[in-house]
Amino acid sequence: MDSFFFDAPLVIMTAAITPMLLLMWIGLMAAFGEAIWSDCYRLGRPHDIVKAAIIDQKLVNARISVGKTTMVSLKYVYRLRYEYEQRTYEVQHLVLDQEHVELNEQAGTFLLYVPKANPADATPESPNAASPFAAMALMIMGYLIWEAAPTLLKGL
Amino acid sequence: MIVVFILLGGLLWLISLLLSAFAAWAFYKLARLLWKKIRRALLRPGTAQITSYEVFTPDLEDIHFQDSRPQVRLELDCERHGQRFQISLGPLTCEELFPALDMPAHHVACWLSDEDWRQMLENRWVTIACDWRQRKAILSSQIREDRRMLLIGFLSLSLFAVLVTLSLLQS
Repeated sequence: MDSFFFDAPLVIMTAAITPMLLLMWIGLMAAFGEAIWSDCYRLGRPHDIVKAAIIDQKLVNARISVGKTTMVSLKYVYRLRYEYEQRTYEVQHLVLDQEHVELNEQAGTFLLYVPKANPADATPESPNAASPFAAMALMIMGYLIWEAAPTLLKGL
Repeated sequence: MIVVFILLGGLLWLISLLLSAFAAWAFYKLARLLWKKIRRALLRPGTAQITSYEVFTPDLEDIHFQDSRPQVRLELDCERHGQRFQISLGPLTCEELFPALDMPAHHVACWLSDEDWRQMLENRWVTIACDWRQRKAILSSQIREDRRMLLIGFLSLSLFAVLVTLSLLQS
């Protein structure tokens, strides 16, 4: 009686929710690992930091979605020109957050990361990287798995 | 007393059944998504020529569009095994379209003049994967994204399995 009304539903609930929790945990760890990997790839790839000149700028009012978040606001769009190996390139860049780019309003310059393999594909140089925090979170989560897995699996 | 007991038990049973139904639904969705991604990742890329294009800017007031940056619809001329067929693609956002044209995609703004669009798109060749039975095509840059996601998923799952096994062996 007691086991039918209370233990069986609890077992079903745990069985239903455990795989989802595990997947969430693994997905979070994968996201952190991906951030670290892309930062390392960016730093390890042959590249140059190039000073680009701002040739045009305008404000746009738009709804912009980056990943999962959507924002409606006024954003700056810069048209940048830079020279690399005797060739001139022009790119347009939408600045979502002034803190994340190296922008000097007085001098009218913008620092760009230009990969040697494909100079046309320039991205803005960002002053702060997320990967140290991601590495810390990844280590903590991995340690929790390491500690919890034997006790949980042997306890069953 | 016994009535309260049975009521509580029944409630617990109801919750657990609801939860398991929800879990089954979530896994069904996940499996479908995974299957779609795998099928897309296995498509073979080819090339196609842009025959016409249409640029439109979604209305800012229209909440169906998550992103009000301009989007592009393409008409493509595909060739496969000597057969030619027309395929339309889109609406594509710039972040999807620009990598296929070998242009930087990182936070591009996409508000270009008509002349710029014409120079960029008219009679250009793009690499796409045609699923010609379903009359659908996707850009090869999207396929690359899918492959990357699958690789990340596979790697993280296997690393998790290794971690759990090692911790079991060690304890």
